Amino acid sequence: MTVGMHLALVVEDDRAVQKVLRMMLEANGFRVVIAENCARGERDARSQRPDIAIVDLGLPDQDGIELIKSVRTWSPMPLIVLSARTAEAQRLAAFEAGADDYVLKPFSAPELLARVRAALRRHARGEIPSGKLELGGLSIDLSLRIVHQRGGTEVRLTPLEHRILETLARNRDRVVTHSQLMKEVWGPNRADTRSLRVFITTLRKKLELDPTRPTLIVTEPGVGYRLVVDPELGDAASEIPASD
Amino acid sequence: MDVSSKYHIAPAAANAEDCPSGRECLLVVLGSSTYDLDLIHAGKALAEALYAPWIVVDVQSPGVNILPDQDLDRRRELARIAETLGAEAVMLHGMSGAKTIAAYARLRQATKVLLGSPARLGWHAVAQHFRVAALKRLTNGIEIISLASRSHHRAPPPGNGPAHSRLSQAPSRSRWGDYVWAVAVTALCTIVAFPLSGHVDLINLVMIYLLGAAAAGLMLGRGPSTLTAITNTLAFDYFFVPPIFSFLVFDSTYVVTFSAMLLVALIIANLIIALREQTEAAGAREHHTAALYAITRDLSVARESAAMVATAVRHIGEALRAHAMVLLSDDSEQLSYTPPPPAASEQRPAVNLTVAQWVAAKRERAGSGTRQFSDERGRYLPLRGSHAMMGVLVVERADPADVMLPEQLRLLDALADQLALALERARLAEVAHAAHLAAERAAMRNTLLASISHDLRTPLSAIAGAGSIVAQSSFALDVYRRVTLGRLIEDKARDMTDLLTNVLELVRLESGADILNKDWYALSDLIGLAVTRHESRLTGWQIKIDLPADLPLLYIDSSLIVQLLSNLLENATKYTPPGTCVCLSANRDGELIRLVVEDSGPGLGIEAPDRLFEKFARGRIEDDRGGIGLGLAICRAVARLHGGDIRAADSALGGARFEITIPHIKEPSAIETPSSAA
Repeated sequence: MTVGMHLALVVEDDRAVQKVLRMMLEANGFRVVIAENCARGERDARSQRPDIAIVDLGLPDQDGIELIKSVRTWSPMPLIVLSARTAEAQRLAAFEAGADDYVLKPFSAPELLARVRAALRRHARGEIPSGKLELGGLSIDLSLRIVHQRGGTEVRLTPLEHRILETLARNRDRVVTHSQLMKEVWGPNRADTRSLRVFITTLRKKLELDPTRPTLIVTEPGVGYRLVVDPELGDAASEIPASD
Repeated sequence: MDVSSKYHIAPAAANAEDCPSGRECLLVVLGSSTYDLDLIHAGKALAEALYAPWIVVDVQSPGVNILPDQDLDRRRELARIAETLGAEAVMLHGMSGAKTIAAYARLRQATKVLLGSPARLGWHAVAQHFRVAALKRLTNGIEIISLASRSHHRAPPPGNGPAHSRLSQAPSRSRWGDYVWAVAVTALCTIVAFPLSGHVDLINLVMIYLLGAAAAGLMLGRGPSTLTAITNTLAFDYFFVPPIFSFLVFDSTYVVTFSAMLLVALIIANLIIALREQTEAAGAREHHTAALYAITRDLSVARESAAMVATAVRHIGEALRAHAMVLLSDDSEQLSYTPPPPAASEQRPAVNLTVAQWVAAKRERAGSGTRQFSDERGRYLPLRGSHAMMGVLVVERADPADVMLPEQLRLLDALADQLALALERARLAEVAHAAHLAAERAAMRNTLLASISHDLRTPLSAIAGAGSIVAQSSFALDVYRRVTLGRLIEDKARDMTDLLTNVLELVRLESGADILNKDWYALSDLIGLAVTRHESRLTGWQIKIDLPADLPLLYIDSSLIVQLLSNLLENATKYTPPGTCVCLSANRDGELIRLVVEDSGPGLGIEAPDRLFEKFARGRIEDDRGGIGLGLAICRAVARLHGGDIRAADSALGGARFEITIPHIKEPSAIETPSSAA
């Protein structure tokens, strides 16, 4: 993995976690800036221009979500939340504030690293250039609403299925919240999660190898869906709601 | 009215040192004389001087009252007045007045007995003399005080209140019709006897009249019976004894016949009346006993205060034709008053809260017929438990003009006592239940602490040990050993995290608050999520998912249901060997969604599988497979929060079967389906 010397901003107040994160990142070729509160984090983000930020939510001066909201007003840089908060509502709030990913404490170093790299790759990749997407043996032509399966057989998508897939694909490897998805697909004020569930189910039947154990369109319970493209993220993604 | 000044109190009155227990108790025995009321007032004065409780006793004994001057109404009224003045009024039944009084005096540990002694010589004086003598003989050590009226008038003293005026009215309530009947009996006897005259001996005609006297005794009161006895004798003289149709008597031996006839008639009538009164009294006592028995039985069945109160109110209504209401005291002995619902308001007495609070504070009776707040319509009785005040019973006669008779008041007291005891029983039961719950909670807490401390210490010791080895530079670990130790630290830390999460989750689930974050979900989606989450752990197990295509969306909390499924899958990996088939299936059964997780493993192997869902329960004791038995408890909490349940059983596949049922909430119709949108 060649990332050059990425600069990572760690906004975290706990010394031990700071140390672990620094060791982990530096051992993997990152330069690390550490800020112990939101104000420092904001200042360092503006002055140092980091490539990625790992943000704790429970910070001494402010909630980390405020920092994410504030950074999102001026920068598209990847923001990964690292928090002990397990509640759906808090994860949802983080995603809606503009977080790219949410990793639960206690974290495993390889998983966090995988998320960090995936976020960086996604950020570097930008938009889908040709409107064509290759994933899991499928070739999806977003402009033609046609999916080619492994054997070359065509799968036709309905306009709504297509719009859902397109929205997920534009945010591939990122969580798209239910409300975001519904707003993109149906427009505002037409929110009905039940229709969304039904469409996701039919979409999975058309795309997934085993629709009962989806690996492409992954559910983030209580938050939304994620289209998993990055092979490195595939395994890690399933570990997200590690609340058992 | 200064009552005491009218009496000589025969022996020196108040010497409290006589009483060995130091506590005086005065027994006032009513005679059959007209100045019983004076006796009651004197008793009150003496009792107040002695600071002693006093009991007014009225003995109904046929042996003493030969002369028919007793009127039950008058005696009841006297007892009522006595109660109003603060005495306890008791009506005793017995053949021998002296014996009955002596026995009762001993029973109540009376120290003084106050009796009336007629100032004028006569039948009463003689009877009373014998009674006092008998009493002195029978009551060893009890002071007998004879009270003589200084004023010689026998009429009741002028009334000083409604009670007295009522007393003076009492004789006028005797039935004049009965006296007409009394004369009619004589007339009938004469009509029967007249045709026989001349055919039978005159002395046999006397038998007809005696029969008539007996009949009068059977049907009429003492006064009319006495009248019958007299008119019988006169009629016999007038119609049959020569000279006929004249009261003159030629043969002086008939005077003996007349005397014997009169005397026998009087005795027969009196004995029959006494017998009748005893029967009636027994009947009344029977009625009271039955009422008490009924309420005791019903109260013993009732378990809660509300039911007990309802029972008591119903029984008082039935037995005393009265409306009743109970104000319950709380633990701090504060009365709680719940306003009656409007529908039942006319069935309840009007409650004066001030009086009720007074009664609760003083633990004494008040209201109608008592010394306190006597102008209240209702009677307020304290419900005294053996330890605390249970509340106040308010009773009001359905008909305000209807006066409570002493025996009814005593019945009421007995009912109140029964109710108080029952209420106390209920309260003690509540306290015991609370204590039991507290003990159970304490036991639970201890188990929890023991389990958590064990399950936290074990991984902690591993972590600390492994960490110290890694930190020791002199150990010069090779890469393999370092990785092993690092992985061990990570794994154990994860176990601890899981434990902590489980404990916190269970606490959250059991808080009962509205914590469900429900939405519409496809069960297949959630099952897939749970299976993928355990992907790494489940390698080696065969996972089968069997869902019908038409399974509806469920309105559930997704993360909780995922957790439920995860816990069941985790259990399967813990308690079945690799290679075991784990099957997840679901079906709709009417209004229920049934979700089944079963395996072909070794099975549960315990008698009562539902015990598994209790906290800290594990199938097999002393298991080193981790966890402190919270996983299934969480499953149950989740299922129940969704209005469903979870059951464990043996599976047809050979292993364990966990069946979750969740009520199916129908989807509102208008949703876009793929076909309609396409």
